[in-house]
Amino acid sequence: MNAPWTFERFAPGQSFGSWRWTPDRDAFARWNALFRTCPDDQQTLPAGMISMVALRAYMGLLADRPPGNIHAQQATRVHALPPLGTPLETELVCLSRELRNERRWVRFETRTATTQGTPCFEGTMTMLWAA
Amino acid sequence: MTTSATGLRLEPLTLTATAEAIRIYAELTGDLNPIHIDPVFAATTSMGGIIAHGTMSLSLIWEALARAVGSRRIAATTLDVRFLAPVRLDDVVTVEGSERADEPGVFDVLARTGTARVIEGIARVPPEP
Repeated sequence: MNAPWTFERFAPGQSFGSWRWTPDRDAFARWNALFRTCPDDQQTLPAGMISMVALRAYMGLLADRPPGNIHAQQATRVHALPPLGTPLETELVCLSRELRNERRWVRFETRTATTQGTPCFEGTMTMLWAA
Repeated sequence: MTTSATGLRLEPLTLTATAEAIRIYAELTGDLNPIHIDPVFAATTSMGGIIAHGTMSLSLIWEALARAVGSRRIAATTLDVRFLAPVRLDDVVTVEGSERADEPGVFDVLARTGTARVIEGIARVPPEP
């Protein structure tokens, strides 16, 4: 087991690498069974799955997190919604680490593109870090 | 979607944050943070119990926006949100929003449980192609 990602280990500009995942029809079907917002024959990635793609990368690349972190803010810019089944690659970078009012704030950036390099969406997520 | 004198209005969408829904979303995202799925651990946190993933409600906001503006415009949209309060077990989340009358393409969006806002934010949608 790796050392947990505690607040002190983060630094602005720190890269955590990239995470590949293909949102295929099976993943879509499971997602749509929960949200029931899209037709079964949906062809492109639903907008509602964007945050799921970013979150999976964050979870995968920072697997050893202290329990109890809280998601405080999220900003997303969409460039394109790829067809379902397109392999995607998401990069994760730390933008900032700040101790404010005895609370630990960590801000991350995600950038998602197809594995061919076509930008899909990017965003920042601000987390209240537990430890 | 409806249109009023003040611009487009998002058709409200709802989702109930049952334990099953939260578990499914945890599996889909890989976010198995015990604050979402372990009632014993969650009770020891400042939240005092299980809370749903914030992005579960955010996904619903994205879907309401997509329905209102269509897939072409959603594919060039920005959305900034703040998570204001937790969604607790069995809460019913409703998302809604409307376009600003004086700023076409700018939508104020929110998610709420009852009358309590749990997410609020702004979407900027490009004009019709």
